[in-house]
Amino acid sequence: MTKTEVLKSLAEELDLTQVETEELYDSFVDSLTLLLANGKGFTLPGLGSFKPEIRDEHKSYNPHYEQLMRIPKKQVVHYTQSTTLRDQINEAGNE
Amino acid sequence: MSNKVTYAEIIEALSRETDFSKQKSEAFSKALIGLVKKALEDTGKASITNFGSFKVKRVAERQGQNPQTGEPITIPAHNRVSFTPYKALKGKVNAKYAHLETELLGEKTEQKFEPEIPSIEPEKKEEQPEEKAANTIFQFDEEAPEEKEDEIEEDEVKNENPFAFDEPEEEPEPKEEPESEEEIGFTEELEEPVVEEESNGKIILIMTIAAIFAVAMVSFWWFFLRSEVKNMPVQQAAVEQPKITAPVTENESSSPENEELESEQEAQVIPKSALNTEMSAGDQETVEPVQQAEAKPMALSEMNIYEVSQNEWFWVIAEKVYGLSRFWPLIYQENFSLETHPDSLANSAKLRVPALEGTAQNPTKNDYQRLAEATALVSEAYQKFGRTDKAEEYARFAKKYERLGK
Repeated sequence: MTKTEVLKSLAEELDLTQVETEELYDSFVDSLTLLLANGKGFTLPGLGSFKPEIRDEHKSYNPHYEQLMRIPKKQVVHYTQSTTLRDQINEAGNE
Repeated sequence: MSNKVTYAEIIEALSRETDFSKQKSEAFSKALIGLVKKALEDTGKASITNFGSFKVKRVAERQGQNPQTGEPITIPAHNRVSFTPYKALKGKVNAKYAHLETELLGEKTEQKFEPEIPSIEPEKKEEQPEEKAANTIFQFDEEAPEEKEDEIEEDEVKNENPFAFDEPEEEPEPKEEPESEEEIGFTEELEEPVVEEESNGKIILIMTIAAIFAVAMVSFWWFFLRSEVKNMPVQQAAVEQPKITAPVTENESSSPENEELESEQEAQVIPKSALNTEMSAGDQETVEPVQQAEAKPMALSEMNIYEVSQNEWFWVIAEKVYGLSRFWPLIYQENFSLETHPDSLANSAKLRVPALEGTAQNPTKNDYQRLAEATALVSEAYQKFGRTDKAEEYARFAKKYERLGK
């Protein structure tokens, strides 16, 4: 689903113009990005929680080129799925 | 301070930024999350553009452990949602460490390693007086600048003293070994700056420290070489005792390989392994004398014994023994059959290490053929233990080696 499709359906649902929806959408995404970039975690109810994590420097092995590499320390976004979403997905998968 | 921001705070910030009411903002984010959830349930993937994408992944059944009781439990196959951030988000989150880069760790050879030591060490010594000088400037900020210079000079003189203490311990060694040409060269260099030191001061002082350090390193290096040379006759003497003609040639041909191993630990292992080689070679001769006679020109009978230390796995051992990790299937083939998982390796197990016909850097076609066979075996073993991904990977390697062996 592309961004325009998302905006269209959101605009219909919320009874807003697409321009307004886009404004909301962009600032929503921007604020989430800003939070993560500043080391803050948060939870989106029903979806899951996001939190920046520091991954320590480690050595890894590229099996294709058979080379040992040193992967530097980095900060990544860690996502934990919400339990409700997990249950829903597994119910749907088992049916 | 908490590192978590509540949902309410996010909504508040959103409404502040966009001038929409809080109700509207919350309705918006709820609707967006609802869309993502719906897409995940229906199609198994969803994305929030410029933020990240979500995907439903199937997790296979696996064995786990009850963390409280340690009981083994089976975790059934299930679905889970994985999240992949967009590049922009990744970059922003990692901004602090963006300057760090992935570094390739190549194989260290002796030739590369040796010259590095003398070149790096003098640099370090040169830096130290400067650092000290900086420290003194900080400490004596309030005092007159004339005094500062005096302090620095004094400090440097003091700096020299600890080195002077260290050096006499190391220096007598090169004097005992006048055979080395390199040392003579270095000592000549050493004498010149000592004479000039009185006239020129600081720079010369640093130079002499560097030169002395270089001499010390070279003497250390020599010391290790000599200890390895000492080990050699012991090996050969041990070999001659059993009066079997075959093992003598075997050990002689395998010892040049051993010489390639650098570190002290490995040097200690060599005598043991040489003795073990003798044993295994003797056993083989009694059991299969005909086979060995056939195999001899192929050099297949040449073996070493390697004792596994903690947390080592095949390709680490192969790197130590052969110099290249990709030869590890040979060790696996020699010691295990399909019954053993290629990733499991018991501590302090003794492994037979088949020798190569050529060298690791320049293997012969026969070596490649054997490697292809061994790699195919590893691939089969992985397949058997359900590691399809690794099996495919090693099947690919096997094909590559087979091509190289033709």
